[in-house]
Amino acid sequence: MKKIIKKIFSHPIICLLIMISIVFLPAAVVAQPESVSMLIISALAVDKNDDGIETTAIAYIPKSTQIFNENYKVISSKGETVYEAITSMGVLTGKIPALAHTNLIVVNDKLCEEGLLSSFDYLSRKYGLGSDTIIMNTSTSAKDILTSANKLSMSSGILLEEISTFNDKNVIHEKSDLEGLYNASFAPSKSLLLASIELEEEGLDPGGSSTGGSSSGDSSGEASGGTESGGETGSTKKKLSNKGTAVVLKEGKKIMDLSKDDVQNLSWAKRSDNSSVLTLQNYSDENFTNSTLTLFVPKNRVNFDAHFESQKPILNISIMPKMQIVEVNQELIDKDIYASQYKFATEKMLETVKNQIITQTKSILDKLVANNADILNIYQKFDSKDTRQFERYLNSLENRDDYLKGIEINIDVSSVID
Amino acid sequence: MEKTINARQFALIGFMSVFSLKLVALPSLLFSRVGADSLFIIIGMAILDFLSFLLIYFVLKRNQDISFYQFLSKHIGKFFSKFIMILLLVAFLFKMSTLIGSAYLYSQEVIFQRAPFILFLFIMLAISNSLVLFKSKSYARTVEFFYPIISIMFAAFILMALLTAELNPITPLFKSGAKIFSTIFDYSMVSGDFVFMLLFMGKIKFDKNSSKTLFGHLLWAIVLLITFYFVNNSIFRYTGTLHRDAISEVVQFLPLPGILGNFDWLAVSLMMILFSFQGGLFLLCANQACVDIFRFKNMNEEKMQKWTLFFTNIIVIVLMYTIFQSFSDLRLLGVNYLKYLTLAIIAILLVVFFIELAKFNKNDKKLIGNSKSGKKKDKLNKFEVANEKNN
Repeated sequence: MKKIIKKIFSHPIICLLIMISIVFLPAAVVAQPESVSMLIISALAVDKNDDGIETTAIAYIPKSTQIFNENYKVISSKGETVYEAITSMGVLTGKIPALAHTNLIVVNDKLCEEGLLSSFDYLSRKYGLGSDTIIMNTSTSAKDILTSANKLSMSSGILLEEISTFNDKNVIHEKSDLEGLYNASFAPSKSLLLASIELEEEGLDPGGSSTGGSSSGDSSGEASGGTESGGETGSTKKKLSNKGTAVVLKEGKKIMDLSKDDVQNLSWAKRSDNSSVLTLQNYSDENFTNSTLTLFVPKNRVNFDAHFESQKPILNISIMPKMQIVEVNQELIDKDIYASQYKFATEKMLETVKNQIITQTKSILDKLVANNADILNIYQKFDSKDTRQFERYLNSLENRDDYLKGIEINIDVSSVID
Repeated sequence: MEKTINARQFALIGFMSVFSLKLVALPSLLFSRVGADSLFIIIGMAILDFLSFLLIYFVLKRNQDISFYQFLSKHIGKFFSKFIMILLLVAFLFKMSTLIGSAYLYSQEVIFQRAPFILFLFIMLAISNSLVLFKSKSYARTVEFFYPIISIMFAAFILMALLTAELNPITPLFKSGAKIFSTIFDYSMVSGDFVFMLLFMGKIKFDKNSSKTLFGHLLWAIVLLITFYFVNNSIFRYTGTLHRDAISEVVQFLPLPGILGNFDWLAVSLMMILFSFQGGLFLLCANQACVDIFRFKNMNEEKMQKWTLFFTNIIVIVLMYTIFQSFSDLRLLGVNYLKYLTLAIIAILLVVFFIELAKFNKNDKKLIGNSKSGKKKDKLNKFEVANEKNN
């Protein structure tokens, strides 16, 4: 025994190991798993109301059950600030709110109008929120959106997080996550596009209470999930409605709404994959007679050339979409229109497509310019190209923020149709 | 003097010393000062580091059999040597404390938010002390073992970022102008890591290829570091200031790990290894400086090292619980005061280099003199031989 003790003491590393085991091991063995004390928030809604901030969360609460069923609950609390409201959620549930798994934040219009940067200060300081935490806007209540989304996921498995990711990739073609919000707001262009999600009334349910999560989808492809409201005699069922609309933020504050068409038109000026659709109405040529042609755009490439001509800033936008005819609607159905050997892309079709794309792109760019919304980061393009000359141009303006209005924008389209 | 490490192991220690403090909070701090121009700050720091390495290498190569303290005592006397060793001790203690502070903040954020500081300090000191206690040979061999893991992990991480992340253009550059130089000076405390090499003087076994090995590994480290800063600035084009734990946050923004799951462990394990090695290195150097300062005649080297290690640990703990309590204090101390310490170390380096250069010139003159007298002797011999033949 003496020998063993002597040997141990002659090796300091063994002493250290014994010491670590004595001090830390018992505490580590008896400590309860951290997940039990955590309120794991997967989606967060932030509403700004007259009485402060209301946060609502879809939270995962671990529960021992015999069946494989994840226990998600909607929890809501109020506070003066976002931090206070989130902390109150913890007090309410007796757990520590954990935001590392939060992939979605829905915000209401009032918060967007007053500015997201100051409200989201706490969230931006939080490590773990970033690349996959998408922000969505709603003109209704963000709380109701999450309540509906929770019911929808319970009944159909459709997740609002997935809808928001789809929107970013295929609808607005922009990263509207927390990082994107700060990146865009601190950039000289200061503008960002956020996708919107709405609630629509589905009709009166005379039966009284409703448990939500009924059908899925309608003609516009909207997913639905129920939420209850109203009095004793009946309740109104509301469903989620993802129509592809968006809002434009400048320095984190909402400055304008974009309709579905505006968003679609803007997509021409953005590099994208598997997204846009172009419809040619009443189109006739040697192959088609008075048809409605639907062209799908699997790939759209865009080049920007920012330069100065006699000190005037000029931006040339070259749009190069690759298109496929995916649907033809006309009265006379001829079997030839299905023939693969035909080359349907005639000069006339290319010209019609070109004109339509230019008209659509111009219409949305005019709206954006009128609102000083630099969604296409035009500032950075000129600044990178010729910093000095651009600075001179900015100094020549009465208001530097009006820089978009003095830039001549030319659009050119060269499409390929298969 | 006993040669405990070879040139390759020494080069690998140099490789490890380049990172850690530069991969966590520094990118964010530099970004807040000069934006995307922080890339030039890191290039500037790398150039200064490399120049300091050249000076040190010149001195090391020409003094392979004596320690740094012996070298100094020989040329500037014991009093000034001890003064320089005190300066180095202070520098390494502050570097060690800065490292522990930054590592704690990083670990708290990415591993365990409610971890008490004492637990982290205990772990860090335990690892660093064991690396010191096992002496430079074991330290070098451990570094040699981990080098391929770190190198491949880091290179894979950067390659993954370059291939998958959404990189934004970082132009226009040079918008901060002269601020770049003042920022290099303000944050100089985190650079100059090659100074540790001085305290390894006399322990390295140089061979024919040692310069190639050393230059190769150090340049590789600098290339990795600069690429990391480029990736960081490009991903966080306007939000660099917001990302205090740069290396972990860059991983989060790579789409590939996003698909495969949380790849945080890649950055966390990389940083933990680097923190441990750098902690061990700083403590090793601080301890060596301490041994040279308190060299008692009647105490053997090993016993002396244990006592000084205990002493350095106490100072580190005191520093950690007094002036290194918050991140802001830590940063302010570095920016306002520690930069002058770096200036002092640069001055030491220059003094050491000029001493060696003077010695080199002296030897050169002697050699030239010897060779001249040799030629005269040859001529005389030839003359004598010719005379004999004539006779």
